[in-house]
Amino acid sequence: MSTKRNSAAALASIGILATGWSIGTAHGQTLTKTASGATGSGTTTAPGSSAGTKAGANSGTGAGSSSGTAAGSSSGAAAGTTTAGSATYVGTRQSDRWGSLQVTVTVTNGKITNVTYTSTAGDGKSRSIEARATPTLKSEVVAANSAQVSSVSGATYTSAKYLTSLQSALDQIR
Amino acid sequence: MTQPELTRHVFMAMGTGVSLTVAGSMPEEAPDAVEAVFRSLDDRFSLYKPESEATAVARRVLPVEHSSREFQSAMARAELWRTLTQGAFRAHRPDGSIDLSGVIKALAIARAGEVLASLGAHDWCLNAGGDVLTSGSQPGGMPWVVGVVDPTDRQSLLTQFTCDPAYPAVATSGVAERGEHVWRVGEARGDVDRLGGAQFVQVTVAAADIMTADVLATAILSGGQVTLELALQQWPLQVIAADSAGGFLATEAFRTST
Repeated sequence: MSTKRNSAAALASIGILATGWSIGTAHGQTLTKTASGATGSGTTTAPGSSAGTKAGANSGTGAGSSSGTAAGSSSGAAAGTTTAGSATYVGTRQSDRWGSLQVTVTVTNGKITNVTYTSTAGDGKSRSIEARATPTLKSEVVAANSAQVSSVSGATYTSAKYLTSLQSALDQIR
Repeated sequence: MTQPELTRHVFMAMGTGVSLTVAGSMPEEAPDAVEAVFRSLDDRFSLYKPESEATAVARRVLPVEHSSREFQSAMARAELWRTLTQGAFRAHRPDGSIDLSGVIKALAIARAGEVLASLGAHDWCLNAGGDVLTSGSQPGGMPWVVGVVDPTDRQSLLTQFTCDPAYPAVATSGVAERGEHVWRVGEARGDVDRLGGAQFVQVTVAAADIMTADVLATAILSGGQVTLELALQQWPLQVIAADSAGGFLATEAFRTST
């Protein structure tokens, strides 16, 4: 029963992709609509989906997104391809000091059927940033110094009283 | 010892407490502006408000494809994160209903941060229900330091993280408290045993932005060590994850020795 709703969700996602809305900030990348380059069949007619319609209506606006300002972004003119019932949207390649990432979304019959991405690590320095999580005893964990702590991260508090109380306690420590 | 000035504004939103701390004096408009960001998103996305758009969608009164642009964009954002985490982060409850709470709080924090910047505030710390975004430094140039609650004793701190420009955001997810948007990968399908590696009771992630920190903390809690390794390969992160046996997996920022 959840399949139906997931399909609706996927469809909604496509609507957004196709209208050129910038999605997400995962690792700084931004997905933008790239349907303007519809090649192949020549018309975007994703069967019955709002994706096709919106993509057509907004054709050519994808490059105007804010993603173009990302430093080092090099391939903003990524092409979208459309074949019968299936379309591929390639996000602009987003670069930062840790490397670059480019997302490709495949839409078939109005549903996202595949999302892939390619990423490249940056220079050697960036690779050294990649952290390893290693087994650690509690005694090896960096201790908290309450006098330095400004704020506290924890699982969402059931009670705001707790947060307020904790904050006031911290204020007193300081 | 006399402390340099910190000003603070605390309010309730999204069912939790939000605490804004500013180094120096608080811009006059900041409290109202920040509250407005949270209330606006809460009004639209709260599943606890019968009149909200999210409630209408959850009850199927409003089809997703007819929902607002903001709702659809949040859906798309959540779906992208689901893909990037290979399914460990989900925008659906096991019963299939849409639940965007996993991204909305982070979105509110991020937007509030933009509002603060626009008001000329550059040195602040914003904590919404234990998820923390910082900017700049404390008075005197000291970095913001975020304590992490001890999962076995919430009255004490397990560790701390010193924020810097590469890691201004810290978020924690845990199973001990409100867990409605955390579902273990495979749980609904009954195949949790196929997963390898440790499962965690609390995960804290420091990242370049609050959305990444918040989503990945939730995803790693849900997906366990497999998702932790996946995340570390894709994003620059500092992580400490507590397992149920009292052990930890930690990156170097959380370890006294490396």
